[in-house]
Amino acid sequence: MKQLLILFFPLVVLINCQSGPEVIDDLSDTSFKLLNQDSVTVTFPDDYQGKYIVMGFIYTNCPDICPLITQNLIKIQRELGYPEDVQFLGVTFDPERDTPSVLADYKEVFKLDENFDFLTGTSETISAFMDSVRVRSQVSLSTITSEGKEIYFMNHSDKIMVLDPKSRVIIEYGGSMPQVPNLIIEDFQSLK
Amino acid sequence: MKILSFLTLSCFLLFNCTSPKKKASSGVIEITDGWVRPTKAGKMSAAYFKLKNETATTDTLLRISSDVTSTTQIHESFETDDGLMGMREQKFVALPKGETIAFKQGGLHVMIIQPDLDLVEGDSVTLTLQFSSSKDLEISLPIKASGN
Repeated sequence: MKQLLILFFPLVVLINCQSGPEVIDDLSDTSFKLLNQDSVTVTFPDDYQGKYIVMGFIYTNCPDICPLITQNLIKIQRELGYPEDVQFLGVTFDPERDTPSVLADYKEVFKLDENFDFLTGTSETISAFMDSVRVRSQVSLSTITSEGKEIYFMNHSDKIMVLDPKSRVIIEYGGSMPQVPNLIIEDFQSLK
Repeated sequence: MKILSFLTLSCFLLFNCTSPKKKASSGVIEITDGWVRPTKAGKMSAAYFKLKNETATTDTLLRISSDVTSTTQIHESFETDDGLMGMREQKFVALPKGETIAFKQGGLHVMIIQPDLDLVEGDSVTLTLQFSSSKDLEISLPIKASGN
């Protein structure tokens, strides 16, 4: 029996070592035509294959939670040392207001580098994209400004996810949580 | 006489429009650790600070106005029953005596809706807070990327 265990144990270790991180979702079969902040068409995820992707979901009229998500993405990029093989993305779930030029302004305000893109698209494409990454959003609250203009705000999922170079989702956390940057950095260290 | 008026006005502004690193107080309502998020004109920003009520009774923050927009509101971020993040407007904020209420990221915050100009790091925004009991308090908060 002991000999059997001795033979069997290394096999279990070998299988576990080869299995890699748990795959939450495989997005390699999906394809979405999106636009970045410079109005350049991006095919997601094909254009990023071979790179890790760290991705958050935002809308730019959100003054509190979405900037927290963006700040967390920035901290992760900074703590990882601005790696060239990791693409950082912020994807809007409010494409009607978040046009490429609005996203360009948002990127400028946060002073982000070229390895950090914001993506938008047609309402239909963004809706399908958000379904594929399990991000929900809905208009929840509207207010009238003193000039009489109506502005709406949204309830939304709070998420940052990491895709591996084969476009598989391997990490997901609450996007605005203060401990997320450290958790993702630790995960990256164990991956590489 | 003109010089005297000028000096009096300067002293008044100096005492009432303080940097948040220092303390700003209205009688015994005290504000510290304030800052405002940068944004572009016409977009959205938020202001954060700590408010301490050192009066002998509970006071209430009734409204806030700003020199950079005609529309400010007090909102609170919260998690809905189905796990989404949202915001709800707060018409007032109770300030129990002796307690500190934090306007902080992910919680209470002042919405600066569609400012008239770009809010750029290094500049400042003036807010005027109105209370039910204490006198109005004017504060100048720095614009910076994050309160961290």
